[in-house]
Amino acid sequence: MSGIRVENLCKSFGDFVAVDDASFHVAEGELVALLGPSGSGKSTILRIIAGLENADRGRVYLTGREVTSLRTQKRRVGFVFQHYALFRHMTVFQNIAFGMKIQKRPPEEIHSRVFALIDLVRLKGHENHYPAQLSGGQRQRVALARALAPEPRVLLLDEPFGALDAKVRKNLAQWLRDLHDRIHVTSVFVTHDQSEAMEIADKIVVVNRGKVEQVGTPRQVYEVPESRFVASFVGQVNVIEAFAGRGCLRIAGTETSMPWPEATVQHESSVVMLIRPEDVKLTCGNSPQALSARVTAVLYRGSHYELELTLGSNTLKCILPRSEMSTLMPEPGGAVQVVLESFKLFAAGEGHKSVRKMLSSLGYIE
Amino acid sequence: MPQQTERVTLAVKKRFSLGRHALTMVVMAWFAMLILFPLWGIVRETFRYSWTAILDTLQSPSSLHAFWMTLILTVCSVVVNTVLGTISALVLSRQRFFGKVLLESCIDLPFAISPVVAGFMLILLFGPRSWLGSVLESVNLKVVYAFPGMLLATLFVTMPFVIKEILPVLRAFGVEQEESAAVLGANKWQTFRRVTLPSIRWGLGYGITLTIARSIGEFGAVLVVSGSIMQRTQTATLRVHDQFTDLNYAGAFSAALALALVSFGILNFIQYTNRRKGE
Repeated sequence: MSGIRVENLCKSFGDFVAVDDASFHVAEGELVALLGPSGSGKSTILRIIAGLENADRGRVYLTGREVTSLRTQKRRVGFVFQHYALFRHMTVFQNIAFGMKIQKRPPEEIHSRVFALIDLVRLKGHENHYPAQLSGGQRQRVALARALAPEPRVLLLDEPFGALDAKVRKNLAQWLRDLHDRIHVTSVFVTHDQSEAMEIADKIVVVNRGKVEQVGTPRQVYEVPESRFVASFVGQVNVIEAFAGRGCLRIAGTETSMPWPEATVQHESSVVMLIRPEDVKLTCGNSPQALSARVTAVLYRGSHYELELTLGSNTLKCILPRSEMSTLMPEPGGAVQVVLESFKLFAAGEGHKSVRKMLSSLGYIE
Repeated sequence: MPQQTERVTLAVKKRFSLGRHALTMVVMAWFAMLILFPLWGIVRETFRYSWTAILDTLQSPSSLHAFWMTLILTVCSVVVNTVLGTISALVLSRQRFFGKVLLESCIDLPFAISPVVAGFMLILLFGPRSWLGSVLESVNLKVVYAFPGMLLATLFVTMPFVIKEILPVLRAFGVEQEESAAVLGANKWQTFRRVTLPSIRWGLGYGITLTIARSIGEFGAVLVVSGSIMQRTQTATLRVHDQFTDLNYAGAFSAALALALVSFGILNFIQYTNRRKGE
């Protein structure tokens, strides 16, 4: 067994439960995202792996060895902080060399490795600059080189691009992916940005309220979400109130012939239906599964159109390719027929109102 | 383009020049009245005496002993304050414990308590009639009217400087850089020496400077505790006062001038190094 394994991690700060029985495994050489909203405990998990925080319970294994009670200094992890945490009184060179100096490596080796890393993070010519003289993106690359210099067993990145503006962030995220493809160090990065996680991670660990909700490839968490939270947090989603009757769904007061695929919800109960905007299909024919909706807005989004629909008391977003726009020509105020493909049902349980509230607070629905 | 900006700033300067000059004059007058004139007064008074008279009084055994006392007291208080002050500031900024707020509010106490009162407190605590004093006397350790008491008095009045200078620096510095050093394999001492200390060195330097200046200049607390016994517990500052009351003006003014020059030199040195840091 190699890579990183955490088992049943628990950590509380006073009354606040930050990490609640979290377990997952990161295979050797993988780039894994810990994804969750802020305050979900993902950073705490990362800090526990690094040894910067002690877990109340649970174990941490790095490359097959248990390190739960090992001090940070001995764990040989690379850690990149959100706000870089570069040594301000040292130059770029001295920052990157720090870890190797502590290891008492020979000066020639330090020199050649530091310059190789400066090359790798594309900071040639900046080796004698101080952190204050660098831009945010450059500082973060120095932090990365510094973390990699002592040849860590794993690389941990805490919201590595969180403090950067959108454009730099996107570039740097892609660059991190390319870098990882070249050096293959087992890496975990924390992010609250689901698109960032989707774009560069091999695997996503979705965290909510200290619990691991799902572990899977970006495709798995997007297409086969295992919980309502995962479905709503990863990607955009529509929330529809529905009622699971005998064998068919009732949406907005209309009995539909839509079969309801899963045994996840009880018969004769209120349910919440989650559906991605691209799975809401407009149709012109009279499909038996079609529902009538009303168009409230048509928004041009460059590569596609985005439609806002009302379906009973529900608001629904729908992605429409440009090619279909010209044949269907939906107009605000007009009626359309929609087919809902591949949706997920969850029991209304705690009440759909709270789900709505959570989703709107995350900015996924209005 | 740069030329244009230059012209603009020049115009701005010209417009406000009268008010600016007036303010500058006020500040200079204020400083002159409080600091330069008294200093000049001492210089003038000192040099009314001949060089030989000045050197003779400065080289008298009592004077040399007094300067020696001041030097030792200053060195000791700097060493103790640097070590314990840094540790205190580290504990106060990094640790959470019961009574921390109370402890922190005590840092300013030496500023608020008159040094003379501080001296009396030490006499009450360590004096021959006190319980602690008699115990210490039985093991032949004299605190009051001896060097240990003088050092305690000096430490009491200089305690806040180092802590107060580096505590805000440590707080602003945070723990992230220390955490990164730890992740990179540095142990506690390596982290302190290579990361924390370089970050607080300017604050520490300034705190030490103030400690030196205050140790040299301390009068009230040391006077009460030492008894100002010539050639035994008399510091240079006490000697200035002693000679002044004995109407030995040549000795008083020359010693005062020597002390003023030393303090002035130290403060200028730190100003100079601080300015270099800014470059």
